[in-house]
Amino acid sequence: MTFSYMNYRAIKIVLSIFYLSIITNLYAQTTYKVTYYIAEIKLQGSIDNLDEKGKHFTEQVIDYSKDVNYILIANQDASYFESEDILRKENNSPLEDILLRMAKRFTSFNKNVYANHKEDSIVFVRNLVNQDFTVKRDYFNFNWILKEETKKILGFDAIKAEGNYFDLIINKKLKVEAWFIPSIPLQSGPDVFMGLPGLIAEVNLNGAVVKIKDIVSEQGLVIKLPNITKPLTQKEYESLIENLTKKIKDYADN
Amino acid sequence: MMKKILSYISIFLLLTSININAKTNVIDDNFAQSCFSFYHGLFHEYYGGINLDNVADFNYLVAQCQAMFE
Repeated sequence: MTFSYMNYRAIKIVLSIFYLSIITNLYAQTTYKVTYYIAEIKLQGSIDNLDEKGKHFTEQVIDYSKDVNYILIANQDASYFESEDILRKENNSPLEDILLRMAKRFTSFNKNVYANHKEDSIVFVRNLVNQDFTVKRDYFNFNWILKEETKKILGFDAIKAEGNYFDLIINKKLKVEAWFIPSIPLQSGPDVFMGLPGLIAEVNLNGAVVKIKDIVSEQGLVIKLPNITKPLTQKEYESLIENLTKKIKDYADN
Repeated sequence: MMKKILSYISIFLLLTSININAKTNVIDDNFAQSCFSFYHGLFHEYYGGINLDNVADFNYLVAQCQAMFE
């Protein structure tokens, strides 16, 4: 009887501590909603090489790029990043949809990215040849190097960092420049760009410059957990890209 | 699983008759060929060429363009 009573008290104490830790955690955990936009698109060639029709088309794509927003929901444990659904008009025509898609292609972002900062792992969805592929892997290693340059972004002090990564789609090593805000203690950023000691507010990529537009902390923000059913490993993903690229080359050659 | 995915992609490419193929298929059709050339040039200047990310958009645009001349 005494033993049971002791057990009951022990369980009660453990449960109380557990409950208190959950409550404390809930209040300590601030979740932010960060909005990014495409500040600049960078052509790999030159607009001067295009005819008038091409230049006009490009103006439309640039115009549509101004409407593209990306949303990051993040706290210290996890984050979720995706493009904001936009309707330019009541119903986008197929051509409008493609202009938006083409504008988004300059960033080369994934369809969405979920990051688990406790496990240093990410799950991203990539659309290749009109098909979505889900991949689960460790963080990308950008070999970030912090620079001495600073600037103000949205009134916050931001520090410059430079890194690099390998882009499997174009089979090239690319440089990335990022500006992060140390006073916002999130290691997140747009798409797979993360791992700095503060929120990444701006990234200068191969095809675009993406900047922070707005940051708010709201109650009730939920970090979406992706639906992961049999995700590809990084190795499987690399193999897939290799095979698909070969297929496309074969079609082009024949 | 990989085989299944590759099979799917192969079927997709065949069904949509990827327009890289259209280069030879519609060689006699000047308009269609100009559609291909126009977007091929555009994608080269934009993204450095056609790749797995943008090939579906490229196909769509060329098909839309060609449909205007049919």
